[in-house]
Amino acid sequence: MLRRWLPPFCLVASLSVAGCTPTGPPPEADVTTFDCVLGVPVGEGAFVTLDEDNETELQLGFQGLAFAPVHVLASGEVPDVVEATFSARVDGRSDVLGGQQAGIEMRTLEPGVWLSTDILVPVNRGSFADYVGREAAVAVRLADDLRAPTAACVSEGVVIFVDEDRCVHTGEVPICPDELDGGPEAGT
Amino acid sequence: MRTRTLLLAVAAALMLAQLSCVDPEIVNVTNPRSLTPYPNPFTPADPRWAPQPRREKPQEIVLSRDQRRAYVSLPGTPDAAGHSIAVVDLDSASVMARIEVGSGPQGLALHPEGRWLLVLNRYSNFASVIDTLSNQVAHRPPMDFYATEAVFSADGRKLFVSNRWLDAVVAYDVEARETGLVLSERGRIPVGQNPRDLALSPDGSRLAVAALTGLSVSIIDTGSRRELRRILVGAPANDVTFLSARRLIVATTSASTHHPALLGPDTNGDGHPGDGTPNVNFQDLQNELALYDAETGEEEVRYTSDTICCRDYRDVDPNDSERRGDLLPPREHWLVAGALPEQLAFDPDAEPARLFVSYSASNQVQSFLVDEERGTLSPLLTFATRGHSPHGLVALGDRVLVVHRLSESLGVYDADDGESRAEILVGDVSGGPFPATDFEIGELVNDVTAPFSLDGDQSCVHCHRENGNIDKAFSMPLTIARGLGLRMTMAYRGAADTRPWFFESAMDETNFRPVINEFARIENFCCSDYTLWPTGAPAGCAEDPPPECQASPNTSSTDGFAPYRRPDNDPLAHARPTPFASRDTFYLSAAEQLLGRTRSFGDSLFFEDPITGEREPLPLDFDGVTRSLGIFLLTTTKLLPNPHDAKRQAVQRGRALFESAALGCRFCHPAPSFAISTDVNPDSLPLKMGPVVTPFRDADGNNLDLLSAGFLEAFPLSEMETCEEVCGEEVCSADATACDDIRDVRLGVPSLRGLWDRAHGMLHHGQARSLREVLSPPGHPALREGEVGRNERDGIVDTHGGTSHLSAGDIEDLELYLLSL
Repeated sequence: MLRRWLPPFCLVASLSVAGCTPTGPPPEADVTTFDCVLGVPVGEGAFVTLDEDNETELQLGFQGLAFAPVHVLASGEVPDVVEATFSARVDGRSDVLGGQQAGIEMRTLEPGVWLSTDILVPVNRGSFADYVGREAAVAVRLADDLRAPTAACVSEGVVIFVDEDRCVHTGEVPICPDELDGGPEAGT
Repeated sequence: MRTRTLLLAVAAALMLAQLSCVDPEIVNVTNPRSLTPYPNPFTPADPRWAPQPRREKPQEIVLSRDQRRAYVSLPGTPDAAGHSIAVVDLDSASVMARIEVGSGPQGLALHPEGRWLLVLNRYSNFASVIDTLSNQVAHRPPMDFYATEAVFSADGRKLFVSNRWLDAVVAYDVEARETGLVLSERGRIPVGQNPRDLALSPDGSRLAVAALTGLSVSIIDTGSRRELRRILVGAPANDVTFLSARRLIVATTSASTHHPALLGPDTNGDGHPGDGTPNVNFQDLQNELALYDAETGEEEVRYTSDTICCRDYRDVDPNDSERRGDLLPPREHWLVAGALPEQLAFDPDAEPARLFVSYSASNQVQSFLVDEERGTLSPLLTFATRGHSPHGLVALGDRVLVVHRLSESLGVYDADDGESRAEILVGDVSGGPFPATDFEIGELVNDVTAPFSLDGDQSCVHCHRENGNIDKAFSMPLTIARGLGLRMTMAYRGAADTRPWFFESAMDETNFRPVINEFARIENFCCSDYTLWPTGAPAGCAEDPPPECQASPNTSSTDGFAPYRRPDNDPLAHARPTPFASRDTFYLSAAEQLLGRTRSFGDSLFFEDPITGEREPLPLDFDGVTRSLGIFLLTTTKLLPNPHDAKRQAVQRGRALFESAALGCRFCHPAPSFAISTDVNPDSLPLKMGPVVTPFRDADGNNLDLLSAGFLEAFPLSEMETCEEVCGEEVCSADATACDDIRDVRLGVPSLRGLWDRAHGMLHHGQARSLREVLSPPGHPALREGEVGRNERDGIVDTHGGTSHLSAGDIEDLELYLLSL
């Protein structure tokens, strides 16, 4: 799927235009809600929502840990560092991928708009083939402190898992399919 | 008047009678005290908190002289100490009494005359002497905190007590009296760090003392009470016993530091680089029984794991000359069947003599025939215990008694076939059988990790003994220089308010994916073996493995790191180590077998829907099991109560120094956790910072502390300068390693709390050998001969606190304060 670039000034507009008003349970008392939307960073300083591009690359990384990174764009009173609770319900599968992650930095994309660093959804169950091409309903709740939040947002969207980078990043040097064709050099 | 006189006379007679029973030499502690546990910062306010059942954690066992009763110590935990021992009637297989003693009773020793049982209370300043005729405490002799294990001489006139805090053995003369034991201290003999088990030679002239953290065995002459030699075992000495007059056997693990053979730092000072077998990293972790000549200290033979090869794809085949397979121990030494040899029970009266070994990390006991003349072992039988984490054991002719530490029970097994004859509950299961909570699942995984490892050899507690650390730095897979770096073992105590964890401050309970991952790498499983499926395994592979899973051998390696699929019919290709096609199915099966369940309880370990907030238990697959370890770390402090007197003037002086702005200690090490963390950071300092001491470098100056790109991606909390940031795009595009000598990894601030019980090796690379070395810049007068001041960064001093202006006395006061934390 082609990725279309959104000029930065559209980013803030996209938060309200793309049907991305905050969802989730009614805010708890004393919890400030900020706006957030799921999407995909593209290049330097740009971001597209899942409506524009919802391909999410499955990655096989360090020591064989497998992830699908997702990202959130936020505006409002956004903490510098947030924690996330997330889930991904994959079409045709009964198990739910989910978890939590702390220490997610919210980096300024432009004044008033922040982009999260990678939120890594673990995909350690099954082969990649069990996920590639399938849609997954992703939900992410960000908060300054999941245990006692004072600021939070929830965003949802649908991603499609892809595996275009067939290389394996378990060590320092990627191991790519054309290197795994036997012989002593393979895998080094 | 007459009646009153008579009554007075009777009273006086009674008093005299009572006085004649008091033996002034039977001493009782005058100011009994027990240590207070550290406060636990993990409270019900945390959504992962859950109430935990009370457990006694039975540990040691001794038999009565007639062998009809067993005494089992019930120490509890550092956070919730026990206060009793159980008396078990072996004929009826039931607990006949519980005797209240001091805090944290662990070591037990029966006086050879049979009447008096000595109980060592780790967290009390007294021992308890029990009269076995009445099962009552007769008296409480004073003893230092952390008296751990004890042994009487055969004639009952000497007593030796190991003390974890003092790193010494305390020697006593003993006299058994009608009302108790007279103990007269005769000396303190320094031994290796954190001594635990002891053994006397058959003639009583030699005492062997096993040091858990100090990785050594001390041989002491019992007559002169001097240490004759210290045998460097290179790994925790878990237990020790004499097989003959001068032959000693030590239950231990592998001596290596997991660097490649012939590469890496010379950590054992033998003049040769690399201190591992050809296996690398955690594949080099083995289980061993080492035999030594106690008179010379020479190692006679070192038996190792029967699965040293060839399970994991990285294991080196002995026939693989390219990978130096010839450097592996000889095959005839691959005898040790279980994980983490914990305790030994030698039965010299059996015909032939027999040795039993408990394996606490794999729930097994193994027996061996002992050839006393040749000093060799031959394996007889290995059986699974009914309870978890076997520790104390006793050989009793046709039976062997095994204490199941986590299951709160004592098992009685047939010594010949391993059949269970009885399981006796000695501890506390009022909160349900263990494991009863998600914390206890994590505890079980932490202590009995072997079922989740492919070769059945590995556990968390091999190196994190008693949840502390050992005096060894290892090669770790997270560094950029594969197999060449060093990371000091960390004590994982006090974790709740010291997140994020690791030197790299890279993990907390949300992304806790520690070394357990290395014990069962994905490459070993058919469906995740990317050398077999370069473009990915087919969908449904784990549920319905394709024919290739049966037909293909395991992948292999050429360097102990990267996988490599050998050509067909290569004799060095090995079968897959497991029939499970995926790691998740392997883990779920292991969880079913070990835990009796495949899902968490959901009290602390759960999936939480981000929209609805609803929670449900997690499957105990790879993700669930590793996260259970995070819950285990969080829930209790595991900090051993501190025995140091914080009120001493020297400690108070040290505190003033610590808190002074001139030194700056308190800024990076603020109370109460004495670390910067997400919970404790009063000055809002960054959680990670560039190294405050000289990094660990190779001969070319390259920084071996640097992290691999894969680790940085998988753990976004970690931080490291990139080549481009330091040297620019142009330089780095030509050579990505161009600036490895000047770029830095950012490390977190380790907690100082509980420092008193940690290994001598300090700093992230373990190169500092004492607190003085950590605190002092080079050449400081506080340093002792041979010590190196490490408060410097590439020649600039005082980079780790402003201490160069301090006197030697100041450094000592500061050290005493740190030990009181």
